[in-house]
Amino acid sequence: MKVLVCDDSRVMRQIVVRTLRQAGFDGVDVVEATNGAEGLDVVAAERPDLVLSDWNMPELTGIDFLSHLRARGDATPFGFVTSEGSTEMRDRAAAAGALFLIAKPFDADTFAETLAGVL
Amino acid sequence: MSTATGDLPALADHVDPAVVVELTQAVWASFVDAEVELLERWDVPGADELPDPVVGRVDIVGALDAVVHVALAGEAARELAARMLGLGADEVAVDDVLDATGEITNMVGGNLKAVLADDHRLGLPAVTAPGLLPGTTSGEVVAALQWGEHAVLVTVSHAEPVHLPRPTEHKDSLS
Repeated sequence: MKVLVCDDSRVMRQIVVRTLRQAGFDGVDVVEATNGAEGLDVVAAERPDLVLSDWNMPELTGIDFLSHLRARGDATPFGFVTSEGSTEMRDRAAAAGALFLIAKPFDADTFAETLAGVL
Repeated sequence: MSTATGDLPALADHVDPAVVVELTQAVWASFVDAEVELLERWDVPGADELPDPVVGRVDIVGALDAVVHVALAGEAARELAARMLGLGADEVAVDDVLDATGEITNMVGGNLKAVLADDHRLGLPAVTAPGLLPGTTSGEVVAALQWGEHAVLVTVSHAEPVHLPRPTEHKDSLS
């Protein structure tokens, strides 16, 4: 199993990876990207089983990252980890094809519960 | 930085300081320090009173046109980064301090945006020097919190939404 963690904050990427481990996903391989444009390249090169992406990022936002993936026929499971946790953003995420939206701040229990059926 | 509040809505009518305190506490408990509580303070320091201050900024663009600042002393920001990364304070790089402060500000701003009307957009976080902070205005919402020996100052004010670069001279002062 391989997960792409896409966030422009190095600190947040570390927290997401650490929380994945705390949630029991110890054996998962992690690859990283710092924005949506880089994420598109990493998905093509690494073929992850899941993308965990921030929403607001420079170069290419998370929602545009997801749209570009789907437009090129890539169905890689995709979820957001973002401070944008409003109903409107959740609806936009779901409409674009995201499986879930985990709002920051989060904890290991949220990761375990949300990702149980995905990883 | 302009703080013209001309015809903008009064922030105090839309932003409850108690909510700002509550969501900042939630962010702290999750990612910074679950052991030491972030307590609300009544003696509110100014950002310019914090030693070697580090100030995160994020814009909430829309009907309110608000800007959120989170200000800490340099030592507190270094401790913040260390806690978030699971490292010792002497192990974090300046970029980590700026990144951590920006990300904390992003989470406070994003959670605040979520309780406002849906016609708002969150900008990208930046870290700036205290000289660029808006002065206290009649429409400014302020929440001050205590983290151990450190003060954490959160302000929500009107400003022209501008994405500020990270000033290198400020980075140098943290080295």
